[in-house]
Amino acid sequence: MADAPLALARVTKSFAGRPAVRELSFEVPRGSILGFLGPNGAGKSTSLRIALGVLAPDSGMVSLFGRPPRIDALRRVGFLPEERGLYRRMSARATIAYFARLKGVPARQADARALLLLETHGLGDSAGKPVSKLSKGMAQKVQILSTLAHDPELIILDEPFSGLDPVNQQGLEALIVDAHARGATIVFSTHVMEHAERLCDRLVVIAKGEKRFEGSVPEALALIPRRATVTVANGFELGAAMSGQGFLAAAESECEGGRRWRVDLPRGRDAQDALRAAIGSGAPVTAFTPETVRLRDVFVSLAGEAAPGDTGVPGPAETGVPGKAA
Amino acid sequence: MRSIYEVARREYLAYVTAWGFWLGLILTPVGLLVGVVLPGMIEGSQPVRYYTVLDRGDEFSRALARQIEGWRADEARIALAGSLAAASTADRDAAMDRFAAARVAGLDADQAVARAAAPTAVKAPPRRYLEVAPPAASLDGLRPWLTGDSLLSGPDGDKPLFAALVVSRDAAGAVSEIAYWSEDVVAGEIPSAASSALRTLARAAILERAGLDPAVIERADLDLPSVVERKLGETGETSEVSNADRAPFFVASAMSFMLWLLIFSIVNFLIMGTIEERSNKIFDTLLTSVRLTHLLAGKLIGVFALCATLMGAWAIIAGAMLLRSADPALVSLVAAAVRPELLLAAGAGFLAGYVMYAALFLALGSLCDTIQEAQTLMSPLIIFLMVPLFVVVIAIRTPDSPIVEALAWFPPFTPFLMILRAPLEPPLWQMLAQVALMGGFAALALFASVRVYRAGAVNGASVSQAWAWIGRKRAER
Repeated sequence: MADAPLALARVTKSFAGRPAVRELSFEVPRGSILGFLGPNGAGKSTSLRIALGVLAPDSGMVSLFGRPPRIDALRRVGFLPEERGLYRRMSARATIAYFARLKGVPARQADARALLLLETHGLGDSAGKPVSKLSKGMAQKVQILSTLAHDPELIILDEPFSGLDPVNQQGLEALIVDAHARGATIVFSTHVMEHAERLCDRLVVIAKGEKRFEGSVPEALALIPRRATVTVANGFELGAAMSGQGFLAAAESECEGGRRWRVDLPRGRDAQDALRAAIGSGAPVTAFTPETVRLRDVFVSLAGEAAPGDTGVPGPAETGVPGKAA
Repeated sequence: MRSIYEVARREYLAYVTAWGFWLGLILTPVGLLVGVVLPGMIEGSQPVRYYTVLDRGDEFSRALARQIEGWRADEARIALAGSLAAASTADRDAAMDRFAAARVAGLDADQAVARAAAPTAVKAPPRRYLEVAPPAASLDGLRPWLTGDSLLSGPDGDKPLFAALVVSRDAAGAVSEIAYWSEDVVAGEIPSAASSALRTLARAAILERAGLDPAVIERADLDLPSVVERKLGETGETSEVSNADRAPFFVASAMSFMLWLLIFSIVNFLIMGTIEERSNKIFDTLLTSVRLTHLLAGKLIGVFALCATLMGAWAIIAGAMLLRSADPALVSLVAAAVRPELLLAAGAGFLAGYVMYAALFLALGSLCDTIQEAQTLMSPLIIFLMVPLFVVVIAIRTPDSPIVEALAWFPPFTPFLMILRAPLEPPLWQMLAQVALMGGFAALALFASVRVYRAGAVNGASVSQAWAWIGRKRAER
C-alpha cells in the first residue's frame, strides 16, 4: 500500500443515511492505467472525491502517496472532475497557468507551460480568448490541459470522455497515453468499456457502492466463460461426442449447414482444442466460430442489478482471479 | 501562503478588469457629489419670486421685507464665517464686526458682506423674494396674476405673482388677520416671515407706547449680541469652538457611511463570485489544489484589496478635489480629522466590519446556484444592512445616547458605531474591548463561514440543507 500512489481501504460513505460507497478497497499500482468502472450512480465520483480528500469518508482509510490526502500530496495529482467548469471570463492561457500555479508551478514556468500545451493541442490561436468564447469541446480541452499542466504523478479523470466528440475523444486518449508514457499513473472512471479496453491495464468495477472486481483486463475477461459455436451436418450428435473429451456442447438451432452447437471452453482449453476435439470425434464440421469475450459483457455481468454470484458469473474466489471480493 | 496569494490575485484581477468595477468606481463619487451639491444647486437655482401686500398702511410690508432680508443676511454671515475659517482670530473677528456694523447701519446683506472685506471673495446669497406693488386692489382682482394667467413686470422681468398677503385690520387699525394666498402650498418662507414680522411689529408697538424711539428699536433688533460657543481645554484654558472641533464628528459620520457603502458594494462581488464557482462546478478542482481555509482567505484578501483600490481611488479623487478647491475650511476640516482615536476606530472598524460581513456573504453565496436564488437571500440581508445605516443617521446627532452606546456593543453594528463615537473620546478600555469584541465576532463569522461554505460548495447544500447540516454537526459534537 505504501508504494501505491493511491489506495483505499474499507472506505464507507453515506449521504443522509443512504450508503453511497460501502467497504471499498483498492490500490492503484504505480505506473498503471486503472479503469474505474461502474454504471451511473455506482459511486464512482463519490469514491474519487473521497480519494482526493474533497469528501471525508465515514470510515476507512485513504492513502495518497502513502499519506492522507492533504494538499501537499494533492500537489502531485491532476484531477478532472466529472462536473466540469472554468472561470468564464478568464482566458484559456490564464486558466491553465492559474491552476498550475495553485499546484506550485512557478508563475513564469506556468505561463510558458500553458502556452506550450495550448499550442501543442491546437488551441494556440485561442490562448487569449476568454473561456466563454470557446466551444464546449475547446473548453473541455482547456480543463483537461489544466489538469495536466503541472506534470502530475497521478492523474485522476472522472468520466473524461463524456461530452467529447469522437475526434476529441481520440485526442484525449492520446493525451492519456502520452502522460502514461511519461511515467504518470492514471485512474479514470467511465462506463464506456471501449475506452477502458483500449487504455487500461487494470480495472476496478463497482456497482451500488460496492466493489465487484479488481484485477487486470485479461483477468476480467476470464470471468466470462469462453465459448465456440460449431455447426455439424447430417444430424451428428456432437454433445455425446464432445463430452468424452471434456467439453460441454449443447444444441442451439438448425441452420443451413446443419445443426449449430454451443461449446463451453473449460479453463485451460481454447477454441482450437474444441475444434480439434470435434474433428477428432468424426463430426462433419461445416462451420466453426470462436466467440470473442468483450469487456462490455464482463461489465454487464458484474455491474448488473444482481450481486456477484447471482449473475452466473463466478466470483473471484471461484475463478482464481487475484481480485479481492467486495 | 502562496496559494492564498494566487487566489487573492485571481479574485482581484477578475473584478478589477470588469467594466462594472470601473463604472462603480467613477459613479459612486459622482453620485455622492451630486447628492451633496445638488440640494444647494436646487436651492441656488430657485427663481426670484414676486409677492405683494394688500394693506391700508405700509408698516407691515416694510417689516416683512426686513425679516426676509434679515434671513438672507444670516445666510451671508454664515458664508462669511466659513470663508474666514483659515484666517487668524483677530482678522476673523474684525471682519465679522465690520459685517455686523454695516447691518446696524441699515445696509443690506450684499453691502454688509462687501463692507466686511473678507480676504477670500464671498457673496451674499441672491434674493429669492421681491415685493412688488399690487397690480389690483382686491384679491379677486389679483386672481389672474396669482394663477399665472397674467404676468407682472418687476425688477427680475415678467413673472406670475407668487403670493399675495391680504392684511385685515380692525376699526382701531390694528392687524386682525393676514390671509396668505399662493398657488404653491408647500413653500412656507413668506408665511413664516409674516409671523415674525407681526411679532416684531407688536413688540415695537408696545415699546413705542412706552416711549421708545422706533429707530432705536429697529437698530436694537439688528444689534443683537452673538452667541459664542466656547470649550474648556484639558489644562483649564478656554477657546472658541471652531469647525475644526466639529470636523471629527463630520469625518466620523462620513467614514461610518463609507464603511456601510463599502460593505454594500462588496456584497455583489462576493456573492456573484461564489455563485459563479458553484454554478460552474469549479469547487472540486479548486479544493484539490488549495485548502478550503486558504481559498476563503484568498477570496477575502482579494476582495479586500479591491475595496482598498476603491477607497484609494476615491481618496485620490477627494484629495484632488480638495486641492483644486483650495477651500481653507475644507482643508482644516480634513486636518482636524486626523486623530489617533478616530484612526484606530476607523482601522479596526473597517477591518472587522469587512471580515464579518464578507464572511457572511461568502457563506451565503456558496449556498446559491443562481442569481435569482441569491436575490431572495439578499432582500433580508439588505434590510439587515440598512439597520446600521438608520442607526448611524440617528447616532450622528446623538452619539452619546445610552441606546447608541448599548448598540455599539452589538457586534454587527459595532464597526459603524465605534467609528461614529470615536470623536466623543470614549475611555480607552471601551475602544479596546470593542475592538476585541469585533475581532472575536469576526473570527466566529469566519469559522461559521468555513462550515457553511463546505456544506454549500462541497456538498452542494441549499440554505435549508446547510442549516440542517450545521445542526447535525453540532449534535455530533
